[in-house]
Formats: sequence, C-alpha cells, structure tokens
Amino acid sequence: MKARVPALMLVAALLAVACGEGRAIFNVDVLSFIQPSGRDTVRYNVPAPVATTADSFIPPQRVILPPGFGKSSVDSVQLTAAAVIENTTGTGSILFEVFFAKTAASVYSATPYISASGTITGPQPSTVQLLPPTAVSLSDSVFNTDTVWVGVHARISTNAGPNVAGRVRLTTLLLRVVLQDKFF
Amino acid sequence: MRIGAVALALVVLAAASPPRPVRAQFSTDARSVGMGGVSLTRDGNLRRFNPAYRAVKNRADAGGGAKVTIPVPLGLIQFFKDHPINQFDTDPLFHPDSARFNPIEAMNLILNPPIFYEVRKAPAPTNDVEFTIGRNLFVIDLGAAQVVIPEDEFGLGSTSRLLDMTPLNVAGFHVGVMGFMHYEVGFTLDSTLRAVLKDADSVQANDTLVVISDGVVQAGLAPTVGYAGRVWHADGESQDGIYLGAAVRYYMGGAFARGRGPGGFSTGNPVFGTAPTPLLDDTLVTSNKPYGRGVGGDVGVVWVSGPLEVGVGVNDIGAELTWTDTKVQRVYFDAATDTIRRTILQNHVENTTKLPITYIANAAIRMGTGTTVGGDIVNSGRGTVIHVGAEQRVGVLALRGGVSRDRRKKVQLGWGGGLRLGPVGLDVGFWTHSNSFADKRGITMATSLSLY
Repeated sequence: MKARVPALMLVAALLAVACGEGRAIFNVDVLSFIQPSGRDTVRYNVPAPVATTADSFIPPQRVILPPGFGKSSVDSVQLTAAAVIENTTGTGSILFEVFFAKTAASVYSATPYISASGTITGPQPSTVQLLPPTAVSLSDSVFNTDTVWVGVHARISTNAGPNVAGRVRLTTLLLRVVLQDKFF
Repeated sequence: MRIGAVALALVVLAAASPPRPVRAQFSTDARSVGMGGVSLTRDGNLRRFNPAYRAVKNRADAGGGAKVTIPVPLGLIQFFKDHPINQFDTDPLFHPDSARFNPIEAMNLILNPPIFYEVRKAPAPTNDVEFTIGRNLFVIDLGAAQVVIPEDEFGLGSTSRLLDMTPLNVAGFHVGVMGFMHYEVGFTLDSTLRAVLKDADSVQANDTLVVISDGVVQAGLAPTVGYAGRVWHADGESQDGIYLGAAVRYYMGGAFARGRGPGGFSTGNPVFGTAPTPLLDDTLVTSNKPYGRGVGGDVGVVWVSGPLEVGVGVNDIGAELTWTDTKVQRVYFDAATDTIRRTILQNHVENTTKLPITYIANAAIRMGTGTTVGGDIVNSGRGTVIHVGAEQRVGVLALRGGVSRDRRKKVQLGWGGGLRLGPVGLDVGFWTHSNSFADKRGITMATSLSLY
C-alpha cells in the first residue's frame, strides 16, 4: 500500500500543532488500503488424512504514514481487528494473527499485535467469526516511523479426515495512533 | 523544521481568523478604554483622517484637562509573574521546539500585548485534532480549533502614510510631500475546502481544494498642496467656528504588483494511493517602471460650537493611479514538467489601481453638568469601526461607559470609572475584545494615572 499524503494533511497537521498540548490522533482504516489488492484474504488448503498444522501468510504490506511520525512521540497505538473464517471442507482450528514491524523482513518475527483463534466444526461449509480483543500498545516503538509493514498470518490445525480448505478474510483492521505534539 | 512549520501555521492561522486590533485596546488611557474607545483629545485618528483638524487646537479641558496621562501596566506585572525573565530560556511560550508551545497563545500575545491586566483571557484551543484516513477517505476534525477557519474572505491590508511632511506653512496653506503605501491581501477558501476544515467533511476522490487569493501592493510619493483654517467664527477668543481642510495630491507611484487566482490541489482516485495534482493558475500584474500617476485629495470639516463638536474627514478621494508600463503574466503549475511556470500575456500595457477611500466622522458634546458624550465612525480602508461613549463626573468621581463595533463586526463594551484627588487622578477602564483566536471575548482592565 502506498498512501501518499496530500498537502491538505500537512496544512491540517500544522493546525494540529497549533493546538498546544492537544494530541494528534490518526484513525487509519488499514483494511481499505489492502483490500483492493486482495491481500486481506489468507487462503488455505491443507491435506489432512492425519492431524497436522500448516501456516499461511500474506506478503508484508507497506503502510506509508504521514511525514512526521518519525519525529513523533507515540503515546499509544490501538488496533482493532475482526476476521471471518470461510471454510469449505474439513474441520480443525485456526489461529489468526496481525503483525506490524518497521521492516518487511522482521514482520513475522515480531510479536503479533493481535491474535484470535476459532474452531471449525459441524457441517461444511461453515463461517466462524474471529473477534480478537482490541490491542493497546503504550509507548509504542514501532509506529514512531514514517513507514510500517503489516502482515497477516493464519495457522491451520486440521483434524484427521478430509482436506481443510477455505480462507480467512479480514473484515476490520483499524489503527488508532495517538501522537504527542512533536509532529514536525 | 518545526519552527518553520509553526511559522507557517501562524501565517495560516493569522490569515484564517483575522482579529484586528481595536484602537481602544491599545489606548494607554484608561478613560478612553472605559468610554468604549472614544478619544478625548483631538489627535490620533482625528488629525490623521480629517485635514480640518490641522487648524483646531486641543481643548484646554480635553480629557478632563489632564496634562499628562501615564498608563499603569498591571498586565506586565502579571505577565512577568507568569513568565519570569530568569526562566525565559525554558519558557514554552518562547520556544517553538517545546511540546508545550502553543502558537495560538503566542499569536494572541502579539495581537493583545499584555500591557494591561487581562481580567478574562480568551481561551487558546488546546484540543485534540483527529484525522481519519482510509484509501478513499480523509477526514480532519479540528475540534475547537475549527473556530479559526474563516467563513468568508479573510486577509490583511493597510493604507499607511509613511511620511507626511509639510515644511512650508503660510496662512493656513501648506506644501509638502506624503509617502504612501497600500497593501491588501485577501483569501477565500472554496466551499469544499472550507467544509473539510470547518465541518470535518471527508475529502473525496477527485475533489478540488483551492484557496482563491487576491492581493495588491503599491507605494509611492505624493506632493501635496493643502489648506486648513477657520473659515467662520463667532468671536475671536473662543475656538467656536467652522474649520475647513483640504489637500490636493499628485500621486507618483513607485511600484505596484497585483496577483489573483486559485491555488491548491485536486485529489486523485483513490484519495490515498494517487498523488494529488497541484493547482495554480494566477494572473500577476507588475509595474515595469515607476510610472504610476494620479490625482486625488482629502477634505474635512469641523464645526465647534461651545460644548458641541462635529467633524467629517475623507481621504484619498479619486486616488486612481494609472501605470503606463506594466507586465501581465500567467503563473501556473505545469503538471507535465512538475514546475511552476510563467508566461507573459501582455507587456508594456497600461493598468490602473486605486487607493481605498478612508474616512472619519466624529461628534462630541461636553455639557456643563460634567457629562461628556462622544462617538466616531472610522474606516481606515479595512472595515468600519464605531465607538460611542459617555463620561459623567460627580465631584471627585467619574463614571464611564461605551460600546463599539470592531472591524470583525463584533460589538464590544467598555466601562470604568475614575477618582481625582487634587492634581492626581486614577482611572480604571474595562474593555471586552476579540483580539485573539477564540470565539469568546476577553476582558482587559486598563489603569492609568493622570496629572492635572
């Protein structure tokens, strides 16, 4: 995702600076940026004559934040996510995780910001909602930069039986970044 | 970089909400402040805008007959208590790098110098500002800071007489030269941009967000021949009579420039993910040579009859300058080369400019019962200011009150009182004002000592 920042944001940010000890709060709909490229979906198809585990990842996606984040003191980062499992065959369970990191290489080696798990049971196809609790990161050290990378990981654990196939689809991915005034 | 950004923010903000100083706010006389800004003497605006006042002497009892008025700057005491000099090095007010630096508060300080005590300070917004960003969504919620976003055209402007020399005065006639400078810059947010900043509307794909600007600056000299004198009087001893003043000026423009047009950008589709396209397509007119010429003048009349005094003065009547050698250029953003380009549309052509007409009308009556009532209407080229006030003296006490309409068309109130003990008088005046970036008025308490 390459989100260029229009000049209006700079003017508005100047006004934000003008508000003394007030904070600048950025609500970023991350999903809206990655949805058009289809990166909001992790597909899986795991052969499962016996119980096994497999991982699926999306390629790390770049998020360009407004200039000034690199000089800012991040007060807090709040991440809200929701996903749905759209399973077509098989039974098992799925672990769903969202990562953020400063570099693409380190996305999946970091601790996930958010995670949730769901169980696929009953007649197929089945739909399971994944609603992880909102994550709050105080004094965050990842978002004090102009560019971050996001990754989504799904770990599928199958039960013995038919193949487990389907997809995990993000339905919500919202960031709320609160900056103390040092935007410039 | 932050300092530069803050400076730019100040410019934006200063332009965004144009609080203009009300004359009474900077008056050092608490009596004038208490009367809503009505001047008790025949100087200042009266002499500046009414040429007839050149011939009218100050009244012996003007301002209650005070020989000297000394302001008591209680505001400075409060200011230095809040901002100790030995802590200036660390005071956030003077350090834009500080996280606690508030440019609006700093600008309010400039617009409203702390000479007098601020009974109620206009609040400087310190709210959070929230941005909501999506691929096709961009909302800016400035919160309480939305008050600084102007609804109508805003800008800066002034007509100044930098120099007004009349070395030759004979029998009321005078010959001299005046230096003038006139500048006026106006900006208007287009409806889309205004809604985005003021109403937190979302920026949409393919939106055009522009500021329409219109500015002119011109300066030069004006040789002047004038007259000011009493043309009718009832007797030879009093100041009663009719005074006339007039001046004819030959304006010699030194340089001028005028620009107008839109500046801004249009968003792509989606809003984020495509680069916005800068928009700039202005017309710039400049003088090639200092050949601006024009004729204009000032007129004024004052009628003094005992306690009653009425005056009217008008300046720069018909002051239209013809510039015989100017250049008209188009200044635009060329998307193909990603640069700002200029092309000459016309060269060595004639253009005209005007100096704005300024005026004052004033009236005052000083009754034998200790009552003084006065008022004035002043337009210095950037809007009309009205002051009306009254003073009632009762023994050693004086009560005062007044009302005014400032250039922002806001009604302001003044009230106060005074105590005179022999040759010394102490006066206090309160004055509401909107000389700040806030939607609430501040209240200033002016204090002064007068020696009689």
